[in-house]
Amino acid sequence: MAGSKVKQDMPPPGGYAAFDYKRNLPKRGLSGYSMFGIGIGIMVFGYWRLFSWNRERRRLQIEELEARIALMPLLQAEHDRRTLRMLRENLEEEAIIMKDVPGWKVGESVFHTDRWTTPLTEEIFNLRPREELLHKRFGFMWYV
Amino acid sequence: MPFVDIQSRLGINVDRWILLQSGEQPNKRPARCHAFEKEWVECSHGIGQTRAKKECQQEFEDFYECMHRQKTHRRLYAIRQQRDKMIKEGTYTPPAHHTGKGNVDP
Repeated sequence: MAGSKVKQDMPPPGGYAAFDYKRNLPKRGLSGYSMFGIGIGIMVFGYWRLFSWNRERRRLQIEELEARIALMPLLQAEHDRRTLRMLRENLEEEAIIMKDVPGWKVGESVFHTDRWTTPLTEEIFNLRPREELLHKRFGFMWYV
Repeated sequence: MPFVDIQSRLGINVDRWILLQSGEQPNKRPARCHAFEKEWVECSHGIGQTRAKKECQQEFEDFYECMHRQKTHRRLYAIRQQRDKMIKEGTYTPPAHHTGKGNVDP
C-alpha cells in the first residue's frame, strides 16, 4: 500500500470553509411578565365589557317587566271575559244536553259556598275537542 | 308536648308556617284552595276535633273538593257521556264553536 496513488475522498486543498456550529438561541419576543400582562389585560377588558352589557340587559329586563305590569289589566280583563263567555256557552249546552236526565240541576255548583271559584281548565274546555284543552295546558311552556 | 303550645308561649314561629297552605308563602303567591282552607281552619279553630268534624263538615267538604275535584270531574264526565250518547243517537249536534270549527274570538 505504500506509495501507490489511490483515489481517495479527501478535503479540498485549504480545508473547508468555516461554518458556525455553536448554539443559536436568540432572545426574542415578549418577556413572560408582559405576556401575562397582556393576557390579564385582555381578560379585564372582557370582564368590563361583560359587566356593562349585563347592566344594560338588567335595564332592558326591568323595562320588559314594566311593560308586562302595564299590560296586565288589559290581558287579565280579556282572559276573564273569555273565561266567562266559555262558561256561559257550557252552561247553555249543558241545559240542552241534560234536559232528559232525571234529577240533574243545570249549573249546580259542586261547592256548598256561593263564592266565585276559579274554574278548572277542564271545566272550561269540557265540551270542546281534546286538542284545545291540551293546547291550553301544554301549548306554551315557559321552560322545557 | 301536645298540651303546651311552646311556640306560642315563647312567641316564636319556627315551623308552623309549613303546616298550612294558608301560611306564609314565598313571593306571597296564594295556593289554589287558600280560601277554602282558611274557611275550614277558621271554622274549626279552638273547638276540638270531635266538634269540628260535626260542625265544619261543609267547609271541609268544600276544601276537599277544591283539592281533589272529584265531584267536578264526575259531573263533567257525566255531561260528556250524555253528550256522546245523544250524538250517537243523533238527537244532538254540537254547535260550531264546540267542534273546533267556530271562530275563536278572545
